[in-house]
Amino acid sequence: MNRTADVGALSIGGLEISLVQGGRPVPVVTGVNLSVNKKEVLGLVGESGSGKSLTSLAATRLLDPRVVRTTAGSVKLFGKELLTLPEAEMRRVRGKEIGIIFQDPMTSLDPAFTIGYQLSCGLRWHTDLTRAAARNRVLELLGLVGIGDPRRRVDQYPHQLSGGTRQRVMIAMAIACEPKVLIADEPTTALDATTQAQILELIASLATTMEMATVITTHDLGVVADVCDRVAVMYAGQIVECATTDELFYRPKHPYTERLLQSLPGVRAGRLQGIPGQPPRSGRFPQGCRFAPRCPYARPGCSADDPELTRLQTDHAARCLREAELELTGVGA
Amino acid sequence: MSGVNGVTKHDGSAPLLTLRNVSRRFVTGRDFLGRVQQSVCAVDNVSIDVDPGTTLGIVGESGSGKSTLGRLALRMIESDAGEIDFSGEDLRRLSPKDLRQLRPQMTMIFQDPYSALNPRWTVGRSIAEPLRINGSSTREATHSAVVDMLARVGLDADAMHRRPAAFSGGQRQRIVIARALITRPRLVFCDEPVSALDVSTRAQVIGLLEDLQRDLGLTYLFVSHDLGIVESVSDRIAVMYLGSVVEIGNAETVAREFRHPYTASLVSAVPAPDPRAQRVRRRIVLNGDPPSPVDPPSGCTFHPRCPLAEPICAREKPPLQIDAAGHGVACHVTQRSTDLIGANLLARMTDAREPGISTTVPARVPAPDSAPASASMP
Repeated sequence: MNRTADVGALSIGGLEISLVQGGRPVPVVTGVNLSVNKKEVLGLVGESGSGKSLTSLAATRLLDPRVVRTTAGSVKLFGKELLTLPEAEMRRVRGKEIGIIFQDPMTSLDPAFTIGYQLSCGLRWHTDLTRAAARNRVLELLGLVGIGDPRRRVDQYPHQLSGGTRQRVMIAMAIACEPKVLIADEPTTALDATTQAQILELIASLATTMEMATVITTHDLGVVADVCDRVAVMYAGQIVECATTDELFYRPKHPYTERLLQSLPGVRAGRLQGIPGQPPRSGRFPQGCRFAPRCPYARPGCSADDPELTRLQTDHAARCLREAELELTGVGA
Repeated sequence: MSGVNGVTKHDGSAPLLTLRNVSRRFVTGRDFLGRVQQSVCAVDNVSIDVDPGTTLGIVGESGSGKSTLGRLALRMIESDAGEIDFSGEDLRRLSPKDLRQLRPQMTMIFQDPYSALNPRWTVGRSIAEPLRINGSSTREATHSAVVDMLARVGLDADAMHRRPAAFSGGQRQRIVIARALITRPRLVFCDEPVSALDVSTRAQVIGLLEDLQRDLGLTYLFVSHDLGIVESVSDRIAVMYLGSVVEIGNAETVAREFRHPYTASLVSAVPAPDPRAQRVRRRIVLNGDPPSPVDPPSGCTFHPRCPLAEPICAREKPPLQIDAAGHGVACHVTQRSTDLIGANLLARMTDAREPGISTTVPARVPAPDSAPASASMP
């Protein structure tokens, strides 16, 4: 919660992303505003199909324009607009100024090359390091992400590494050029519970020591409690609540956030509570509040009016018509 | 009754499934003459009991052998040694014909609902397939069984005419569950049934599994790497590490009064959905990756990563000592000091930062009434 400057390291404004199906674009993410500051870790939470990964990947412009297109809004890196940048320049931003960690370390590494080679590729493309200097930097990076015995590991192939170690290699790759912004898309979903804890701690500590602005997308609020300073909850292509981690967990202001918290094992005694029903399919959002059909507190008015994301306090905003009258339950209540 | 190997049973009912000293090796390398050069002991001398109508949770990291154990228990793969008893039948000695007769009583729910269903088949056909294989059901009976099962898993009857692509991950998992239950099994092996699902959907599917267990009297073998999930669904929990059960007992006991350092590290890895608690919590971060099962460490296989390891741990494999309450632990260190339990054990482990440095543990003789029953596993 470092409110150092008004302009965030990465700021997304009015973002709209559409699926391109048979000519007519169908909006799947609408009106997303986000900002992440230096050293800050932002958690972007939502179910599959909520648009969290699309939002974070839009910032890197890695979306395939034949399928998904950013149809409105802006993505700024320290004030520099990225969405209109020519591809050649964007290529210099990607990997250098914005580091990306993908979900699945099994498929994101090339099985045919040693990890040392794959790590040095990006390094040598973005910098003018010699082959030998790049190798030294790779060894240093492997040590930095907590891989024991880097000299042996550097010449190994991905299949010789465990899932956790592969994800560490992915992290090393993302931070190789000391980016200012780190985007981690579901970095621990493919990992075991024990490894997950290690990887999250590593990402959080790197964010602090390297002064990066970090965005972590996840469907698991438990992951967020651990490492994030602020959390934005997405539902059906919109941000429905955004707050500091403590605010969000102890004083949720949106029914969806409350239900998500109640879905976690260990929050309440007895049976796990899911959220009844299904999230709307991409682009086919219901009228009014998009969560209303599944919301236990919904009133007829909820399906008529479109709620705005309303700022309630300095660092807490929620998109709910009944926010003022509802007493929602946080954790530890 | 007092079962084999000192496993004491609380009530009179016989377990539905009993595994005794079951092992399985996989050959991973052969020389040019086809002689075995390298093999992995995926499951090493495991004994468990599952009572009818209960859930045994099996928890461990990937490579711990937990899925292999489940597959052995259903004889989906063959075991090398040991006994497997399913409702009085010696599963390992059944002829293929008799085994096929028994199959409808033991089914499986798979991890990934996206790959577990044939995308070209309608949902109705997929759900009815086990009945068709079984060959005992008329067309009308099959149809009504499918309709009934769809209702039980919370889907509309017209879902049977659609294909999997029309459904979300959670709905697909409901279809997989319907298919697993259509033959009215007694034992269901749930292999990470919610790992591929979102948290909110996860809770729904777990609730559904619990309802179905109550309504249909099902017995579950529930495998997961997430101790939080396993704790919420299980009556008993077995913790596996590198092919061996290192701790077993009632769910509450294993999750709160655990006595194996590995269980402690799993407990400490469960993310608490409480930011403040999380900040002050001291976490045990294990050193390194789980060792390769091709070349397992000597003695206690957990000793290279264990903060409490002593010289004896590298020499001798600790037996699984099961006490009168059915709580079994395989650890030299905690066996000697009865105070190393639950939060105490966690605290001791976080204090002993450097693994390999032995901590001074007062050797205590357990009180006679809590003396462990006979040791079972070498």
